[in-house]
Amino acid sequence: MQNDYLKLKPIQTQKAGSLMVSSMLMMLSVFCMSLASVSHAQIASPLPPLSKVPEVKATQDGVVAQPQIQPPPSTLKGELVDFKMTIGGTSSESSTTSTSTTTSAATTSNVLQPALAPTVITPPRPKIPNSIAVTDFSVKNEYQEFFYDEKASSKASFNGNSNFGPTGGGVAPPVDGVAPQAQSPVTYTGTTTVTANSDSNYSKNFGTKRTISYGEIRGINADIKAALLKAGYKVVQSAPNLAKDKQGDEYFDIRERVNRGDFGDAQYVLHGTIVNVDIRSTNDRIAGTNDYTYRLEYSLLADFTLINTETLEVSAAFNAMGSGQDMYLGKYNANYVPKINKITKELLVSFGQEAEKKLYEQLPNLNKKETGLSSLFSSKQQEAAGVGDPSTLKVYKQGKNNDPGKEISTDIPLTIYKK
Amino acid sequence: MFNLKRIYLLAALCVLALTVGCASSPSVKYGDSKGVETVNTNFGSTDLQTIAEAMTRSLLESHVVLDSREPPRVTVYDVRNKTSEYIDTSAITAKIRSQLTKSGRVRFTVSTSEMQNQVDELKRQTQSGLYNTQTQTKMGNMNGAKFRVEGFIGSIVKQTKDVKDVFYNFHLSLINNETGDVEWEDEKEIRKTATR
Repeated sequence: MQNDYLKLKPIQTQKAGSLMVSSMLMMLSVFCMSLASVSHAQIASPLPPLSKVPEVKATQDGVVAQPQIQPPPSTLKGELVDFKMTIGGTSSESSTTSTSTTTSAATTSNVLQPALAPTVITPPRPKIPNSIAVTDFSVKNEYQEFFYDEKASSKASFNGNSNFGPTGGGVAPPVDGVAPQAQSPVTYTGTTTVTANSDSNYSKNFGTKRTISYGEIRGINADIKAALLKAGYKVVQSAPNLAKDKQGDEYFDIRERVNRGDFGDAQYVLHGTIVNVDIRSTNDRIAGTNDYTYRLEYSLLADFTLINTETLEVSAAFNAMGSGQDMYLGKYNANYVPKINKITKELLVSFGQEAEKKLYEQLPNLNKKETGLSSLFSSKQQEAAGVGDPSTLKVYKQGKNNDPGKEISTDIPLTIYKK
Repeated sequence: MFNLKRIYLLAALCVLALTVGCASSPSVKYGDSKGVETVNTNFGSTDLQTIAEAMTRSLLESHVVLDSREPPRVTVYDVRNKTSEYIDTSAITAKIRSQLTKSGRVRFTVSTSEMQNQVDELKRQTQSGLYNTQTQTKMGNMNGAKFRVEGFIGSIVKQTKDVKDVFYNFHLSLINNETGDVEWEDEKEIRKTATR
């Protein structure tokens, strides 16, 4: 045990010594770091040194007082206090506290630091010129259906309980050979309980149930996109517009979608909304014949709005309608199976053509390229350069022997009439 | 005896004469189709030709035909027969139509009475599955007529023991199918009198 104690004691002495040395080293290192941070702040900071920061005071008469140079503060006490406080912290924290030992320096740094803090301003991304995002067709489906519910239930229960029997008439036990004798008369009593329950329920509910849903229809505007591409526009794919729970008519708010960035960097967005879809199935007798025409027709009416995504200005607005039909000739009660794909194709073609035509009619400000379909629908014919301009007219005079003449100058005013 | 022989001979001659007479062919002659026919007062070929010629001439001089750049499309409705006799009015309209078509200034579309053949042909080509899709006619491409021709023929008949007077009145109209306006109208009157 003594050996153990003797063994332990030097170790404890060594530990204590090493702890003292290490704590001294730490104190020294932290002190040096605090001094270094002060000197670093004085050298690297763009601000003037703390001792040279002028203190500006405004007087009541508006005259700015002359700056007074403060003497260098005695930072020893403050450093020691701060040193004790930040001994468990990091080096950066200790350096910060060391710079805040003087009140004037702290005030100056607090005032000037926000002005010098770098503010990152992200400029808006430039829009792609002549680019159009074409949305899928937003549609609002509204269903109304009649409902009728009639219920009737009936429940009946019957419960009967009867209890009847004799009471009294007890017989005394025989005593000394005497015959037993009745002690009390016999009476008959009874109770009858009857319980009956009946429960009837009847309910009738009827009315009109109204269901509204919002969504998008895809695959209708492919021809419009193709026409825009052929005409030289850049078509941007827009993000789908998903309906939320309890969605209202704000589903059609295109401004919210623009702000949300659904259309990327497109300069314009062509937003289509389906106004009505009509499906007609008819069969009519052809006059003068014994035959009937069986016809199924789809027609679609949509509303288009071309909106500038930067200014939210409506650049064009129009309606377009398309229809497609399938027809069959047959006798009365013929078995007619319509060709849905044929109807849909006709509908899309006619709808796309009308939409393209009206779109091109209302795009005067876009840098249109007269190619493809745009040239077909362009209402303004491009005139050849110089046609109709008198300044470009040259007058030639025929020379002798039918040789090509030379251009002569004339002062006669010329008037050019277009055909 | 002698008388009996004579009777037999006479009878044989009669039979021979009858046999020869019945076996001979009738004489047939071609006449002038545009000649005047006056067999009786009933509606005849001369009346038909007269009416058709008058109506065609009048219609070709109407502003509808003269002012249109392209030959107007016309369809023909049946002419109603308001007389007491049987008249095939389709013969009148057919004659008018043929004369107008030959002029090249009017185009006719299939009339109601001709629709059955038109429908049957369309069904045969488009729905039978027998025809090449490249060459078959397409449904839904029939041209609609801008005008229609319709009219009626009426008569007033007066008859005594020796005289029968018939007055025919043929009335024809050209109506714009889109607006319902009567663009042209004319009539032709014919009087025929027969005496014993």
